[in-house]
Amino acid sequence: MGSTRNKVNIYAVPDLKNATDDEISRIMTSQGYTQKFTLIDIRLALGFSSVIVAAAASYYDFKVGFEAAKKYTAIGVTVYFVLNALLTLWIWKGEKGTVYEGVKDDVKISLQSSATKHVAVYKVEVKNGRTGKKVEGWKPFTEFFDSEGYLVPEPLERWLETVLEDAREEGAETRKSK
Amino acid sequence: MLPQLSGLQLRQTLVQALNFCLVLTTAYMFWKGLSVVTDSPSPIVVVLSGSMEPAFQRGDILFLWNRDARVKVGDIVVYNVKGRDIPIVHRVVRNHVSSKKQLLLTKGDNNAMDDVDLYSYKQYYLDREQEVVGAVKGYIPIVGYVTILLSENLWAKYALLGGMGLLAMVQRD
Repeated sequence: MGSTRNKVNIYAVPDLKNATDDEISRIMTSQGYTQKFTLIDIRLALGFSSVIVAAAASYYDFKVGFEAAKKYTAIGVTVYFVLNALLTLWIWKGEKGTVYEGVKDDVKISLQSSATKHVAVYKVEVKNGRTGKKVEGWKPFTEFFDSEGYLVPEPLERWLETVLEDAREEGAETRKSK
Repeated sequence: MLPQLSGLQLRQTLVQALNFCLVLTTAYMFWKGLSVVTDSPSPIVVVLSGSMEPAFQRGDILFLWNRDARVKVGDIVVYNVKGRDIPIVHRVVRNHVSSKKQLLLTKGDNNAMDDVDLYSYKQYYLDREQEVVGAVKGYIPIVGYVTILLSENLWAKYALLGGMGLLAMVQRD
């Protein structure tokens, strides 16, 4: 999916953001980071367990009928909506728009991105997991999308590199050891 | 192909599948939640015939409540006679009640005769506990026509379901 060959509608900020998010993981890999999927795995676990609860409730209700299944249906409905609430909470408070998490040289970097509607600017917040240092950066989409709507990776890559360096800087030991 | 699919791409596909499943299960669990709260296997029904005119017309949506142990004469109830598939919305005109059981006779406001002909062979009364799905507590006119359209045209049903699913998978915003 995340290839440079995807054409994007340059007038749709969410599309631009999504295409850029997809590219981030490729760039990070080329920078030597190993991607961590903890956040998305927790989302999948919460989501699919609620789906399994719903499927089980529906199967049992279908099998023994409404009256006999009533008590378990009530439990199932409660558990389902609790899990769904946890999922929403997780996406909102846990993921917080994180599009990438990865490790290089024992330093965990997480990257959140955002874009305001009608403002064609890509904003990132890079967090250094070891020092807790946060670096914010922003760049107009026009600087790494051509007029056709194709993403041009090089300027994005170079900019991201400087933001990453900035974020790693205080963890000076890691840099010296290299 | 495979190593690529085991990482980010696999998860993105799973997230899209999850969103699709969540649309379906949320709708279903809302329905089940409502049926648990109202104690009725089908808490919302659509009027299919004109037998309750002028109170209800074809296409009205009815909200049912089934937590009261006894229904009153004059209540409009939805019942399902054993062995017949279609639920019927009619008014209670007579009842025989004991501490254990309530038997009801129903009639459509717009019908000349009571419902005995609609019951099973040699059945003269409905059993409140066994056959009544719920008493009508509220209604919305006309809106139910959508479901009449959907149930009478199977393709419309699948088109709607497919469209909803597709939207859930395509939208990422």
